[in-house]
Amino acid sequence: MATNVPAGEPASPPGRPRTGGKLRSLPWLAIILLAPVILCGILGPLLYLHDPTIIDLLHPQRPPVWLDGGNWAYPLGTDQFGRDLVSRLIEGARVSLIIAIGGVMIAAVIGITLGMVSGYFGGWTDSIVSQVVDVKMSLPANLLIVLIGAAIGGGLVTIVVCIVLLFWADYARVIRAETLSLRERGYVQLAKVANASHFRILRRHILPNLFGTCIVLITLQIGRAILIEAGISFIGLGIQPPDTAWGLMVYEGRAYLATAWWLPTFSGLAITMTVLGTNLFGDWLRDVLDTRQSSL
Amino acid sequence: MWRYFLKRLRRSLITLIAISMVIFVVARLTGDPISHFASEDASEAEIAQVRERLGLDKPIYTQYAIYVGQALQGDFGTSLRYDRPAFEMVLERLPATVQLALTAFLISTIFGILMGVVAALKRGTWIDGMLRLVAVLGQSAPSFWIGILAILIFGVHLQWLPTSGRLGPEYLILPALTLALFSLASVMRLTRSAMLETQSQEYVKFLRAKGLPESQIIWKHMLRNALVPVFAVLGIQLGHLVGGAVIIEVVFNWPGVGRLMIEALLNSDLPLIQAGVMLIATSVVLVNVLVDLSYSVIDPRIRYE
Repeated sequence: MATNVPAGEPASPPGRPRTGGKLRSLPWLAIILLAPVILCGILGPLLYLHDPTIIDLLHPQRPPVWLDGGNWAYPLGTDQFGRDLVSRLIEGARVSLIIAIGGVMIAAVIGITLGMVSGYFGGWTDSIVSQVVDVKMSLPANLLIVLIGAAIGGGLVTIVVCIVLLFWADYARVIRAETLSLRERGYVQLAKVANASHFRILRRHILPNLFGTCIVLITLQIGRAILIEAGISFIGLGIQPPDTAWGLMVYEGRAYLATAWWLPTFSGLAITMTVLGTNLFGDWLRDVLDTRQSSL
Repeated sequence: MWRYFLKRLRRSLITLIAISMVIFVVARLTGDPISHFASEDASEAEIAQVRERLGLDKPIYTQYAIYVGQALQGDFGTSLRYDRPAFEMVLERLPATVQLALTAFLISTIFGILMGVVAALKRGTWIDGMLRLVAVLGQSAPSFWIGILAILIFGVHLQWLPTSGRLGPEYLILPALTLALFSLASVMRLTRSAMLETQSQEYVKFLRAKGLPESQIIWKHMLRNALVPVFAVLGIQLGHLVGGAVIIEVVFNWPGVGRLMIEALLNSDLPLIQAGVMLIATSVVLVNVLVDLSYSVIDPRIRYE
């Protein structure tokens, strides 16, 4: 959210005794939600029950195992071309994770650099960066996606470009504000007196102090990036068939809503659980790292 | 007050100019526009003639100036597919989008605030837990998936509500609720944390000590102060809703600007896309100015920043 207002849980009052050990304070729900997704992303093809691209027109729209006509060979059923849904979800996990993490990382490098530079140097650099951030913030995400889609068409590159263009400004805005306050700290002033170069101050004295904020922001953004990727694939600008991604699977399954409800339902559920997991994990990190950036 | 107003207006103007530049550049990125207007077997001389007629032989900044001049008069060219003025087509669809976005805005604001207050008052109970779960889920699930589930449950199985088109007020219910969910979750979380913060304020303790009825303390004094940060983000929420409407319109076959743009995208109908993006972006920027101004009336501290 583009706001400086605190959201979510206010920090717990000091002195409240913490119950339970270290294990208890881990975000177990987030771990349970994310572990299978990350596992699928890493192991990928090793976990396939069937080749996710093999078409079997004799058994299209086979229902999940617990319904009449389902069997254990295809636990969640098959799609309109008879492809195994579980294997396709695993492949989708891989694609969605790579795109989300890759896009968010590029956006982070760009946004953090611009935010640090504009917060540290101020002046005209700052006003240009702030103005561009302002423009970005007032253009709804989907309009930007439509524009980019019109310019370069659909596909993997489109998704990554969209994620980078949509997310860099969040880093720039938050990091700029933090750099502004770090700049006035004693140790930065002392480093200046010691004749350290601007680059050295930024790298050795400011960047390490931004670490917590960056980690929290990156975690929360990965969840949002998965949502954006799904949305782009849903309007037909993302991954193109026969490749697959979760958003595309929801889109394709939509046409078979009346006869094969499990197709859009489970792919959407996969997206929701992953995003929920990263959101919870990000909230937990924010509290643990005590970034005070409750607006992230 | 006037200084703040002018500053705010200047910022919006720069934003609009920047957006128009982006649209202009995108239009040029998609390839030589001449290909849309001249047939493939046209001779060199014919192409040069068309180029001159469209002003494409002039330097790029002159082209931009011409483009802005025409855009200000509502002239974005003719839709390549429908052969009608693009701006006119977008204007026709605007009421449907505004209706959808405003309804969702009202739902998310009113219910978001109410649910936030209830969650804060019942902090730590199962009601609070349930409401917070709804909020987290609302921010984690893709809106189009929620829409599809809603169609599946209320349209296909229960057959309570229509799921496609815009033929009467009952057609508005599902799309508006689906669109509202994400914003409702944000508004609820914000209201909840703002209410919790006001609870420990000195003036609340004083009012309690004074013996004021609890309901008056909550609804008259605490809520008023808690709403200040909530109002600050309403403009942003409206922007999200208008943008989010693009996808929701596709899911529910709602005949608004968003669906028109997605169709135009599939047909590579650039004038239609340009007109749509510019019109929606302009309305979002203008609404944000209005929200910011009314906010500065509610919270005078803003004006002196």
